[in-house]
Amino acid sequence: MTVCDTSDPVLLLRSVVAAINAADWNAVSACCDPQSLVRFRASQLEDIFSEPAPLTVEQLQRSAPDMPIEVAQHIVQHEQWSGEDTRWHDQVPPAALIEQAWAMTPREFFARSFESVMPRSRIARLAARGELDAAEVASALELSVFELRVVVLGAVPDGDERAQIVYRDALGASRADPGYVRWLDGLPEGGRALYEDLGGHRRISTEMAHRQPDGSWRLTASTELAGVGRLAVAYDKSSRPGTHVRMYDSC
Amino acid sequence: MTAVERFEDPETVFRVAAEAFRARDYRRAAECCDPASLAVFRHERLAMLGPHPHAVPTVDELLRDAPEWSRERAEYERSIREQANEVVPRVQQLLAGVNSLEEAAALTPVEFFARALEARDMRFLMTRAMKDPPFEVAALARQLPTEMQAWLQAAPVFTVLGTVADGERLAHVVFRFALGSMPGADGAVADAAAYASIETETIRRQPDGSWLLVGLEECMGTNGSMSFGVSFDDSADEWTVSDA
Repeated sequence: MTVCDTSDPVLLLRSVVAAINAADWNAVSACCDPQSLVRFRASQLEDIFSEPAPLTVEQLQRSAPDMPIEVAQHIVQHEQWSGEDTRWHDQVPPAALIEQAWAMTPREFFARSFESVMPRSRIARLAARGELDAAEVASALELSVFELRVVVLGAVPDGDERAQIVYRDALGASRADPGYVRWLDGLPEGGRALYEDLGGHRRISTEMAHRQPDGSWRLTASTELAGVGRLAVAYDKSSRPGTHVRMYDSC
Repeated sequence: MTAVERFEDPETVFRVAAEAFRARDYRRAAECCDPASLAVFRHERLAMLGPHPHAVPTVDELLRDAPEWSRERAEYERSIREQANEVVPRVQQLLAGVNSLEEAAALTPVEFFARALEARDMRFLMTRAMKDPPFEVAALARQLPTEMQAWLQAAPVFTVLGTVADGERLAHVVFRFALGSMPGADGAVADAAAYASIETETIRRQPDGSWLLVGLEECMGTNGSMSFGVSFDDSADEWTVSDA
C-alpha cells in the first residue's frame, strides 16, 4: 500500500499522486480529510439517487425567450431520458445499490467513487453498454494506462487550519507534437520564449489541505484531486473504426 | 504607470493590478502584464475572431446528425449557430466598445487586452445585457432582483495568500477572489467567503529582473468570476447564486 505522508501539505499531495499512479484508491482515500469524506458521500448520494427535477418548457423559455414553444416542447420531451442515463452510468460507483453505498464507510465510498471516475472504469462502462467492440476496448485500455505527472510547486497558508497546495500538471502540449511546434512558430515575437518559460499549456491548479487535530494534514475529498477529474474519455462513432476512443484534458 | 515603472517582486505587481481591477482601470491592469503575453493574446484572439472556416450546417445536415430532432428544432438550432458565427457580435462580446474586426486589429496589445478585461467586467456584461439582448444571459439578467444585480457588479476583492516559485522565471501568486458580500433578502449580508474562489496568477520575470503578470486567457481570476452561476430555483421560487 502506498504510504500517505500527512506531515506536510506538499508531501501529502505527492503521496496522492503516487497512490493514483499505483491505482491504490484506499491510499487516496486515506489522504483525505474525514469530515470532507462524510460530506462527499452525502452530496454524492443525494446527487445520484435523488430524482432530478424535470426540465420544463417554462424553464427553457425563461432562459431563451426567443425559443419557439414547439422547440421547447420537443427538447423537454426528448432530453429527459438521455440526461438521466448519463447521470446513472457515469456517476454511480461500482456498488450501485443505495443500500450498499450507505453501508460503506465514507472512506470506502470515496475510494470506490474515485476509482469509478478513472479512465479505465469509464472505458469498462462503455464496453458493458456494448458501445465498444473487443478491439476498441483493448486499444482504449491501452490508452488508459498513464502516469500522472504532477509537479507540486509548494503550499501557502490559508489561515491557521488550511493550506493551498499549488501544482502544475503535465498534460500540456509537447514539443514532440508537430502541430504544437507549428503553432509556436506562428506566434509573434517573444511568444516562443514565453511558452518555453510556461512549459507549454500546462495548468496551474490548487488543492486545499486541512490541518487535523493531531497536527497532520489531509486533502479535501474530491474526484478531481490532482487534476484527474479533467481526464476525459471520448468516443466518436463517426470517425474511422479503431480510432474513435481517445483520452484528453477536458479543460 | 510609466514605461520605466518596475515591479521588484511578484506580489507588488499583483497588488497594483488588483487595485487597477477594483478601480476598473483596465488599461493600467494591462500595463502590468508581460508584453510577449499581450502580443500572443492579441494574435490568438484576432485569428479566432475572423470568419469561422466551417459553414453553419443546413437544417437537413442537422437532421441527418440528429434524426430524433423535429424540423422546428433544427431550424432553431441553425438560427442560433448562424448568430454565433457572425463576426461583429463576437468582436463585441470579446472586446468592450469595439464594433468591428478592423477596429480590433488597430488596437495595440495593451489596449486590446484592456478591452478584453473590460468585456469580462460584470458591470459591462449586465449593462450590455440590459440594452442589447443577443445572448441568453440578457433574459436572465433582466429578471434578477436589483440587489443581486448590484452585487454582481460590485468590484471584486482580491486577498493574497502567498506566492510559490516555479523555477527562476515564474512565480504564482495564490489569492482568494470574491465578489464581496452578497446582500440578503432582509438587507443583511451573506457570508462573502461562500462566494469566493481560490485562484492563482502567474507572474514572469522580465529581462531586466522586474516582474509582470502573464496576460493570457485566465487573468486575475476574471475567468473565475464567470464560474459564479446565477439561476432560478423553481422549487424554491427564488434566485440563487452558486460557485461553479
